[in-house]
Formats: sequence, C-alpha cells, structure tokens
Amino acid sequence: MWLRCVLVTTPSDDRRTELLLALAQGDKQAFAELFSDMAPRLRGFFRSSGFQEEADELTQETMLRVWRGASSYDRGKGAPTTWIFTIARNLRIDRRRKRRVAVVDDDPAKVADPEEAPDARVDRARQAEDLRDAIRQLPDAQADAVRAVYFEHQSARAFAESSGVAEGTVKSRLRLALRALRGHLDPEGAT
Amino acid sequence: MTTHHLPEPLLVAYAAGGTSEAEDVLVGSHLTLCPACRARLAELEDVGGAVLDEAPAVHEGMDALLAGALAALDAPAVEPVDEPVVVDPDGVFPAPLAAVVGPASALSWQWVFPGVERVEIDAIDPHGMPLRLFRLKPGMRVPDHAHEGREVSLVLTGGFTDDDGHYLRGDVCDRGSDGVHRQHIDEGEPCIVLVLADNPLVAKTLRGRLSRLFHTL
Repeated sequence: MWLRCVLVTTPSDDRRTELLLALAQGDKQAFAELFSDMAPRLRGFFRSSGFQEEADELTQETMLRVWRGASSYDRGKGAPTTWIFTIARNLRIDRRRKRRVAVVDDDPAKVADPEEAPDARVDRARQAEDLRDAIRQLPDAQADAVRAVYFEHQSARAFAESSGVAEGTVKSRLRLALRALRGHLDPEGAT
Repeated sequence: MTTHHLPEPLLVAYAAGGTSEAEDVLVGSHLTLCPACRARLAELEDVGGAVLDEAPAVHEGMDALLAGALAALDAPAVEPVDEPVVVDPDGVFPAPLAAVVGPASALSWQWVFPGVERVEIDAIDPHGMPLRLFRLKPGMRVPDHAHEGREVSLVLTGGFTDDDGHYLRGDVCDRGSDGVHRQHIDEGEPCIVLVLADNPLVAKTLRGRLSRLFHTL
C-alpha cells in the first residue's frame, strides 16, 4: 500500500523535482511519496535543533508548506532539498521569534543580480548532487562541524564546548569543510 | 559594486538560521546591496539541503504522521497574516532595515557629539547585540578608538577610509578587538553606517574618550 511506502535509498533530485511538479498539480500520492522520503529526515533535523517535543508537528507543518508552495518551486534556484531546507529553517526561526527580516525582491534599494548564463541553471541543479557526495567524503571531524552549525545552529564556541575540542580547531575544521565543499560548488574557486 | 563583504561565519550562521534578529537586519541589508553575497548564500543553503539529505532519518510512527498530513491537505489553509512589507521608497535603506526603523527620510537623529548623530535600534532584540545607526559629518576624522569586542558596520550612504581600505555603500567593515581604529569620513554627503557591536569602545585619546559618548549616551 502506497501509504506504507518507506524508501530506503536516497531518491535522486530528478525524482524529487518530478514529485514537486506533481504536488503543484494536487497529486496526493506524490505528496505521500515525498513525505515518506523527507519527513523522517525533517524529524531528525528538528529534533537535533532542540525541538524534541514539537518535531512531529513541525515536520507536518513543513510538509504542508511544501504542498502549498510547490507551484513556486524553481529548480533553477536550487535543488529540491535546498528548497525544503529553507522552508524548515524559516519555520524554525518563526517559532523562536516573531519577526524575520529578509531581502525583499521589489525593494527599490536592491542591487540587481547580474545576467545569468543560460546553462548556469542546469549546472546549479547538478552541483547539488555533487555537493552531497562531497559531504559524504568529508573527514568525520569536518562533517560534524558542518552538521553542528546547520542542524543545531551552534556557534563554533558552543560546539567546541560540547565536543571538547578547542574553538580555533572547530573554526578551522568548518573553514576547511566549506572550502572543500566550495570546490564542488564552484570548481574555479571564483568566489 | 561592493568590495568588502560579510564575514563568512556570519553568512554561514544566517544560512543555517542561527543568527539573531539584529544580525539578520545587518546581513539582510548587505545581501540587498550585494549580488555576490546572495549567490554565496544560495551555495550555503545548498549545503543546508545536502546536510538535510544526510540527516539521521527517524522512521517510527511515520504512517500516523503521514495520515495526519494527508487529512490536513484538504482542510482550508489558515494562512498566517503577513505583516505588510515595508520598503524605503527612496531606496536609501534596504528593506530589512526599513522594516525596523522605517524609511531614511523619516528618521529622528539624536545628537551625540559634534559631527555625530545616532539612532538606537533596540526595539527588535533588547537582549541581543546592540544595533545602531550613525550619521557622520562629511570630511570628519573619527577619533582613535579600539574595540573590546566585535563590531560589524555596513555603509549605507557616503563612505569612509580606515587603515584597511575605502568603504562605500554596501561595504562591510568587520572589526575585532585588535588594534586601534581610525576613520576618515569621505567629503560630500554624510556617511550613514549601520553598526552591530557587542561591546563599548575603548578610547585611546582624550578626544576619543569623549567619543565614547557614541556608545554610552
């Protein structure tokens, strides 16, 4: 029965993109498949973020926002998991405080983005898959530093205290990790 | 075109959702003015997506959770009432700053010191790092001062020069507690800077001590 379907492997971004397109058309079976894929990860994400008791409710709310917002998903702006991550992150911020100020698209003060090369959008989608491989290949200590910042949004100092490693060491691990990941995002290291 | 960008740990924390509201105002204001940092933010959000993909999946009880979510799909959505988006119609203040202080033209500046005016932005995050706006007279030299803690500034109008370079609209000046800081404000229009500081200044000269009024009045 499709309700019980639990995927044991990580689906490709292509599959997740197909599911998001189907969600935008109101396809509940696609929602169930994406839920089975992403909800267990989201629950781990919220639990690691200090929302032990609310993790289930926040997971459901994230997936409902995915459902309602699926028609606004644009693959050219990032992988499906990147988009879902930003929804979960913003929900987490909403719960911690009342207001979140962010860049506004039609702000007269905004400096416009440069014209994007036609193939850059395709590259960005491919980069996301390369990036996952790169994270899997990071040395454990570097990967732990990255996870601490993104999941637990600990500062380097807090992570250093909880892990018993010097703060400078944590910072340098995070810097090395991001440099390694940046190599995958931007092979020419232009930024 | 900005040449001095956000310190990377601050942008990483913003991407991860770990910044304070005061930090969000400064980071969001710089991002509005800097396409390069917006592109970098998108990369750091990709890292977040990839880390989420590697999250320890917690499967037990998922069927009930899915059933609840499916039932909610048909319920009429109760959309949160969005606060109206505030922008500065003159485009002087980026929206993340205008959202907390309003447009630049409507600001009430407080006199602090000859050539220096200030606005405290304490409504958003009274227990966090203090966030302030300064308006500095064109051509003035800011007295020598050191920083006990971190200070991150964003130029919004005019410009200034310090030992490390020249800062114009959109540029970020990141100061730790190392060394003495001298600033020379550009001629022309007043220099408005948004400053996030976690400690008062340590003045190095008598005039500098007077200028502690910057932060303590």
